[in-house]
Amino acid sequence: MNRIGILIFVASLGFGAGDVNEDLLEASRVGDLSAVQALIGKGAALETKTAYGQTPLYLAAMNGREEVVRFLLDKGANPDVRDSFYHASMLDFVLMRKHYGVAKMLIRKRTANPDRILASVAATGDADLVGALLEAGKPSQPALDKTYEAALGEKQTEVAALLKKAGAHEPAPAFVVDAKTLEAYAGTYKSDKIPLDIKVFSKEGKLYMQATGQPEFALKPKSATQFEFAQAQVEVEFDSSASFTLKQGGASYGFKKAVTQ
Amino acid sequence: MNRHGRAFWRWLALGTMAAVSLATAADWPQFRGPSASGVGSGTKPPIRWDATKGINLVWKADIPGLSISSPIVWGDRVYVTTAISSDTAQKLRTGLYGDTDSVDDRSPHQWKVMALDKLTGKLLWQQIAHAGVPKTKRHPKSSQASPSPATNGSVVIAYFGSEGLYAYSPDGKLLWQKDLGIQNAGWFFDPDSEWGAASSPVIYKNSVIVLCDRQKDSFIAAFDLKDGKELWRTARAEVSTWGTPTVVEGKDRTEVVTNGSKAIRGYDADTGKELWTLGPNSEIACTTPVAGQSLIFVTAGYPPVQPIYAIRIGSTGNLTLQAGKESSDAIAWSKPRGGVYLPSPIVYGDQLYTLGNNGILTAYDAKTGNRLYQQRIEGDSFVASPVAAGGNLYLASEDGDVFVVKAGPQYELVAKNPVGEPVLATPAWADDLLIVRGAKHLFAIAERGGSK
Repeated sequence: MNRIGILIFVASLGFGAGDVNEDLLEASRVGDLSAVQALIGKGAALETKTAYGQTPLYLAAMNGREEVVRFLLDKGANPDVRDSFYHASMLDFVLMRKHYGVAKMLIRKRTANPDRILASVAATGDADLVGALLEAGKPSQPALDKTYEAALGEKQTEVAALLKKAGAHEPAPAFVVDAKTLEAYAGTYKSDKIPLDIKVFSKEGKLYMQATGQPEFALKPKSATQFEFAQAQVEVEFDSSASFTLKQGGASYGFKKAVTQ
Repeated sequence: MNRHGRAFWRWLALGTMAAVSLATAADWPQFRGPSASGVGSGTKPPIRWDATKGINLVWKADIPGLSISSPIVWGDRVYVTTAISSDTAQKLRTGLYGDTDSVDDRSPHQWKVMALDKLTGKLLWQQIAHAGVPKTKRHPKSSQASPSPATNGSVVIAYFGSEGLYAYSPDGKLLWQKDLGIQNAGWFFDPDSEWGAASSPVIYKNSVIVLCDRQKDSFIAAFDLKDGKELWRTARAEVSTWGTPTVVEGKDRTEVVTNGSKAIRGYDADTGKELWTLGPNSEIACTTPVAGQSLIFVTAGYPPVQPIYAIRIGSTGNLTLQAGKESSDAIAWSKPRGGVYLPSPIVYGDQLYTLGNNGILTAYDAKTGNRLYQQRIEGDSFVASPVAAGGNLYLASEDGDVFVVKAGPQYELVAKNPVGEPVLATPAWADDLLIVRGAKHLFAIAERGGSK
């Protein structure tokens, strides 16, 4: 074969591989199991990625395609992949979209630290999912304890019982903050970092927060200025009655009071 | 209508009849008015009102359905579009939130074009452009009729995304219609996501230009106003966007400037030929470019890339800045951060203003990009783009208030005016008459003792 012929041959191989990989991503996304099987048979790459780092398994999972997910996991697809844009795991989107059947399959195959997902899995209130996670690997004691406390707060009795059985400790009694201090925190707070307003208010001796368009949640006091919402792993510290810092997932956001209640 | 309002519109009518015959400065022919500037021609626009109490309210008209399209004005008429679901429980979900989900309302809808009398709010005609089940879903904060109509006084164009492009005479006669295919604009991260089309049509010479950015096979095209015949079509290497293209008159050419997630682009308005590209930009681009001070301003605000670009009119080629540079021959200034997500920017006087969804208003020196101030407005959430007139900016919030802020290098809140229902549509001007679309009504507001 002459040089030009070789180049054309190599190029056609390249285009062919690209096509089957693209087709595999598409077939996985729409849940076409027979096409996925055929494309894998033709040599499509199991871990090929979209421009945003989504693999065939990622796309099948976030769209709830259980048959395709099962097939790809059996083929050895990596369930711990994070995308390159949001840096989120496929399980994050699967839980958000309530594809619990897929979630269970992924949890059983994941190798990543269970601490990272325990709270979000428990927040679904789905005892089967939590059970699957606890079977797959034991979370750390602090993660178990926090999640257990959150489950108690949300009255998720089945989930709480599973966590207790897995070794979670009973939560320490809440610090008591006087009503006047709580009322002083009340107001609407805004942040320059994130486009979210948070309303703080007290009700029946408890401090509550509510982000715009989201349900309210009660904060547990750790001191007169420090509070937490274990379920979402949120920690709040008031610097004064007019500003607080919210910490979640390793990030911290400053909020200032814009409107007094 | 209250007693004062009725008295006022009679008085307004006399003044306006003369005004319309003399000039068309009162016209607001498309989304954000002439050249998408957002700037009204009035000299004594309303400063204070309370639509809930009828104060400075000229008229209020029921608008059925769900729509965030803006009203437009030509002569004595106000045109507005809407989509009416047979599921009457449907509503817009307001507030600051991030949600990638869609509303899948598969109940039968009617897509309507309505013409109202500018002076009274009386319904002059309405036409059902299309009836059926929506072909695509919508974002919880969007509607099945989000693109605003456009007119040149002879033809009224209504665009309903997947439900088609329609042309009417000013008296409501259907002139032509076109199916532009499924406009499944949605989340870039999931090709099956559908949030619905929002880019509004714009009229240039004898054509209407429509930007159809969607999950696949995006394009921009121009259609003959006379019969809908396609004049040009240019494919776009883009995924979904929601901004309206802006026609910018240059010294030697007229260009159509489009926002885009892959690149901001300029096209020859007469041929559709791509003239220039500029990146990087946000993965989700929703705002409309605006021209002023011999520059074109484009911004987008979906993190992590949230730029503001001030582009010199008439530039050609790849305008992308070299790494570490914030200006060039083609880019007067730029900022890698500070871009906003939904409300489009506005140039008024010497300043460029951006309004964040969270109500942070920022003023820049339009020529240099120097930041003059940043101030949080009281409202919780903003989607409508700012408009301006009479030396003031008007910022409509989802909470149902319109904030009036004095234009200039220093921030000064002049008034907070209740409308009484969420406002997501950008208001329109007809000289000193402000037309605000709320969730359920159209409100016409004017200062008693105004210039008309």
